[in-house]
Order: sequence, then C-alpha cells, then structure tokens
Amino acid sequence: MSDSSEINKLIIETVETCCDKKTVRSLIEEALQYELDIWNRHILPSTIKDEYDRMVERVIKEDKT
Amino acid sequence: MRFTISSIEIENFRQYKDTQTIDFPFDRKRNVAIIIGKNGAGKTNLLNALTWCFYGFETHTDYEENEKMPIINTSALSALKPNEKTAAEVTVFLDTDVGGWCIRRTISGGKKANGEVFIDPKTKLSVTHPLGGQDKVETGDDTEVLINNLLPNDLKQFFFMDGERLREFFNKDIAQNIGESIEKVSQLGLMYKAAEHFESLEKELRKNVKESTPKLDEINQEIQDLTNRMESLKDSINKNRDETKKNHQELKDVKDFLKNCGIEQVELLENERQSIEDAIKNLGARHHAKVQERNRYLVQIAPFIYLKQPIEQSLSLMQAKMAKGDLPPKIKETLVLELIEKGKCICGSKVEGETKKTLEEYSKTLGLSEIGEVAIVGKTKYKDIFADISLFTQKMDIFHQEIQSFEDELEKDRRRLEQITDELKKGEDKEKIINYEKRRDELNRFIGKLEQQVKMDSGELEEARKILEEKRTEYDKELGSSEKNKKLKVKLELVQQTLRTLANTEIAIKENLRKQIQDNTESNFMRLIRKKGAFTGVIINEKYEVTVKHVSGYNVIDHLSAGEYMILGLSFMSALMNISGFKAPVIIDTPLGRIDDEHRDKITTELPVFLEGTQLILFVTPTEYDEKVRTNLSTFIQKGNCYKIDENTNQNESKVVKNV
Repeated sequence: MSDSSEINKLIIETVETCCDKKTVRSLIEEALQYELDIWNRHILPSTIKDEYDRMVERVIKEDKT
Repeated sequence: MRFTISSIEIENFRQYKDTQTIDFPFDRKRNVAIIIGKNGAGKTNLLNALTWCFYGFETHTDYEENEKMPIINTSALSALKPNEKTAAEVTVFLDTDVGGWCIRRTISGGKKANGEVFIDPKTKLSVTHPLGGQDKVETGDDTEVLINNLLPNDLKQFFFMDGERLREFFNKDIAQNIGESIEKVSQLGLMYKAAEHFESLEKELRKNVKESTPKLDEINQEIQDLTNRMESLKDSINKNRDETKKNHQELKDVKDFLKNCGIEQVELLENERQSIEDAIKNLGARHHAKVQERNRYLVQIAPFIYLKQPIEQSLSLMQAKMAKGDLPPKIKETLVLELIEKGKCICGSKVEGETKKTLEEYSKTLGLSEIGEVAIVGKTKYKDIFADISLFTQKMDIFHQEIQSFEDELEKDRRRLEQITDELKKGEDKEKIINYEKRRDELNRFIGKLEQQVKMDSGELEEARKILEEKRTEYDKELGSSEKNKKLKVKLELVQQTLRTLANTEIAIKENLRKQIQDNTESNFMRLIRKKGAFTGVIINEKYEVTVKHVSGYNVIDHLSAGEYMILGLSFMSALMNISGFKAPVIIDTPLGRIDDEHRDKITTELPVFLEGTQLILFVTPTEYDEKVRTNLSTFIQKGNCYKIDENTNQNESKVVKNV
C-alpha cells in the first residue's frame, strides 16, 4: 500500500480551493487546529466561545497589519 | 505517526490466566504474524484485549455472551479469599517513529468480606511515550487524546477488523455503511464542531449590537427562528435516519427468519422473493436509464421536428438556386472585393482601368454568394437532419418497445411477489408466518415513510439555508448603516464567510473522498479478485450505492460469493486506511473463514505484498491454516512470528504459545 497524504492536509487543500480569502482560510485552519487540540476533552462552552472570539479578533488584526 | 505493535502482555484477561506475552518482530517485507486458534479458543478475545486496552471497550464481541462474564479471568477471581483483590491488565508495547510507547489498561476486582465478587466499574489507563528525550507517563484525561492521535477510535474498525463483519459489510445497508465510513475517515467531525462553534459565536455577536433598529431586531428575530427551525430539521433527519437503520436491521432479521425457518416451502418462497426483489431493483434502474435516454433524445430532436417546415422550404430554395446555377458560387465575393481594394493581383499585375471596372460590375452580381456558400455547407447538414427526422417515429417505437418490455417484466415480477405473499400466508405454521409477513409489510411501509420524511426535511433544510443566507446579507446591510456597529460588522462578515466556506468544503471533501475511495477500491478489487475477466469495475455513486460491474453489464453486488465479498471488503477497507493517513497495524480476525480455496490462495499471496510495510496480524483456525496457506505465507512470516492458542482440558482457559 502506498503512503498517503494526511487527512487534515486534504481538508486544508479543499478549504483553499473553496475560498480565496486569506483571512477566512487562516481562521478555518486555526479553528480546526483548536478543535483537534480539544477533541475528546471536556471544555466549557464559554471557554470555547471566548477562544473563537479571540481567533476572529486575531485574524482581523493580522489582516490589518 | 506510524506505529507497529512490538508486543502484547495480557494478565487475567478473560480466558487468559496469569501473565502472557506475545512478541511481534516486524520487518517491512516479512510483515505477517499468525495466531492460530480453534473457534472459541480466544482469538477474538485477543483482538478485544487490544481494543479494550486502547479504547476501554471490546468491539469484536457477542455482547450477550461476553456481558455475562467479567473481564477478569473467572478462575483468578474464584481463587481469591474474602477481602482479596486481583486485576486484569493488558499492556501493548508499540514502536513508533519517535520511539517506544507503552499503553496499559487495568481493571480491578475482588471478593468482599461475604465472599461476593465485585468488579471496579472504572478502568485505569496509562500511556508512556517519549517527550523531550525522556519517557513521560500520562494517566489523566490526556491519555485518551494521545491514543486518539495515534489511531482515532472512529477509525479503529478499518485497522482492527473482524473477518465476518468485513464479509457482511457489502452485504447489507451498503450505502449507509459507506457513508458513515467516509464520514469517519474524513474527520469531518472537526469541521462540524468548528461550524457549530462559529454559529454560536455568530449568535453571540448579534446580541452585542450596540445601536439596534426595529428593522435589525426584526431580521434578527427571523434569523433566530430560521436557525431554530433548521436545528429541529437536522434533529428530525438524524432521528429518522437512525430509525430507518433500525428498521432495515429488523427487516433483515425478518427476511433471515423466513429464509431459515425450517419450513422448506417458506424458505423456497422467501429465497425466490429476495431474488425477485433484486431483479426488480435491477430492472427499475435499467427502466429509469432507458426513460432518461429517450428523454434526452426527445430534447435533442424536438427543435428539428418543430422546424421541419422552414427547413424543408430552405432546402427546396437551395435546390432551385443550384438548378439555376446560382449555387454554388464560382468566385468568392471577398476575393473580388479584395482585388478591387488592393488594386493588385497575387500574380503582381495591377488591377486598374477596364479590369477594375469589370470586376466592380461583376461584384454586384455576387450579392448572395457568401450566404450561398454557407447554405451549401448547411445543405449537407439539412440532409442529415432530414434523415434524423425521418427516423424519429422508428426510433421512438424502439424506445417505447424497450420501456414497455421493462414495465411488463416489472409488472410480472410484482405480481409474482403478491402471489408469494399469499402463498406464504397459506402454508404450514401459517399464524407465525402471517405475523412475520405483517411485520415485513409494516417495516417496508415505515421505511418508505421515514425515507420520504427525510427527503422532505432535507428539501426544507436546503430552502431554509438559502433564506438564512439572504437574511444574513440583509442584516449586514442594515448593520452597516450604523457607525457604532462597524467593528462588529467586520467580525460578523468574517464569521459568515467562514461558515459558508466550511459548508462548501464539506461538500467538496465528501465528493473528493468518494472519488478517491472508489478508484482505490476498484484498483484493489481488480488486483485481488480471482476472476479478473468476470468484472470490469467497481462504482460508488453520489448516494454511496455500490455497483460491481460484471462483463455482461449487470450489477452483481447482490450476487457475489463469500470470497468475493471478502475481497471487496478488504479492498474498501484498504482504500479507507490509505486515505485516512494513519499508519497502524492491520489485524484481521479470521479473514480466511468461509471462503473458497482459490480466494484463500489469492489473499495469502497478494495481501502481504499489497500491505507491504504495514504490520499484518492474522487470526486463523487450524483448518484454515492448511499446507497451502502455510507455504504461501512462509515468505512473509519472520521466524517466531507464529503462535497458537492452547486450551486447557476444561476448555475454559487459554495460553498463547509459539507454534513450532
């Protein structure tokens, strides 16, 4: 069986083909990484909401600079 | 991360008393390990030990049977004195790209003062793994996360397989099984979670609007209502899909009962009914394809039928012109005009004076020549069109005959189905059969209703999605009119674009994966199948329905042999493994059971090569591990990588020993 690409790579590649906006792409990448980190962990919904809000703020700020 | 199992240590786990160690030396080319055991000796419980150690539960088990027995070896438990304790423990040692790992799960139990046996409901899990040049021992919540990073729980079935279930995989609920597998392998769960959290954030952002207007409030309310409706539709779709799955399972049980009820007449009729149902499915698909072909033809020919008269007139006009010698033109108008304009011929002579005058007069007579030239080319096409039009009635008659013949056959089959139902109700043990028949009808009706409901809900959900998009745009427009909400608007826009991209990505990933899995399954199947000339390919369509194409053109998915189902299952699982990106060992419990010699031969010679570089552990019975299989596998097994399970005389305890 030949070696294959990681599934996350497929997701990222597909996101890139589905959207040409850099901000949206980096926000999705960040969110997926975060979801991977907290997968199967019990995290308070308010903590998750705050983290998502921070992510959005960060991406907008980075886009401006 | 790539990993192989270097050894498994089992202590007091089910029939394995005391501590037993099984080592698995591994080499890329000598990648096979064999464990031989009679039925019931403990092969499946070795696989269970592995999944229990990794994930905390035994997946390959007959629950009713295993639930009665504690995980801790019963002899070890009964040998305890009151207030004494013991434990069952499974330790799996792994070789990974970054060094050795050790996963250990323990469950305790013992005897109370009154002699009553108790089992601790909680298990203890520890993972030792290399981190920063040292071995780190994890015992908390992170242990499960670490194991999931190694091989996610959802994907384990594509690596730790049960031969029997693999054969069954393509035998029932295929589309649903494939859909679920693709969902698991694609890790779309991560995207669903991200989308869910972005949706919550979006709701929250709307609440933070600083300067609202009645219009904003109104749209916000509409968005809320739509989101709630969509949530309830999604719930209803999921609930109905689960219900459909359960009903399909019960329907299969009812059919199996009728097929194996012991009354010869009933069994014969039920078998006949199932082949008729398959035939109806096949005929239905062919009838549908033919109707579509006819409709395509009608769309293509219809304009010419309606324009028959003007086409005829054009053609007769052209023929008259040709008879008069006006067509075809002798000289092209463009050439004459070019000569006049340039004032020079291609031979170098000047075009002036009388020559020029003659040409100018001649050009006036060529008024229709360009059109005429087009018409000459067109004339040939007109002839073709006429030929097509004249064949119209004949072609339509053929279509009608073919469609009618499908419909007749379908009608005949449906009538026979009704007769079978009546005959079944008249035969032996008729009350019981009538009840089963009633249940069968009920289930078919339920399934039909549920599928219809899912279709309706999905349609409404799609519509609601579109309206939601419009409302969001409307909301953003209204929001933009207020200076104070500008920052919020930027955030909202980004979140909404992200949600849209996630939705589009989901569709694209599913389609991409379906195609990749189809191509890989097909190439694996064509490589592993014995009767290469009998099949032309495997198709997995958008609805995840599988077609195995026979050279005759028929779909033979419902008529494969046990060995062929096994090959198809292995091909599909390999495709999924490949696409999942995880590099874990492949362990198959009884892959050689109930399949013919030639497929057994094929699997034992091709599979190790096919999975070269992947550790392959096979559990087989002594009968399956015959001389031929042993010879085939000998090139792929390292010395000492073959074990057998020995049972004690009471056949209630087992030991794994080297098979020499």
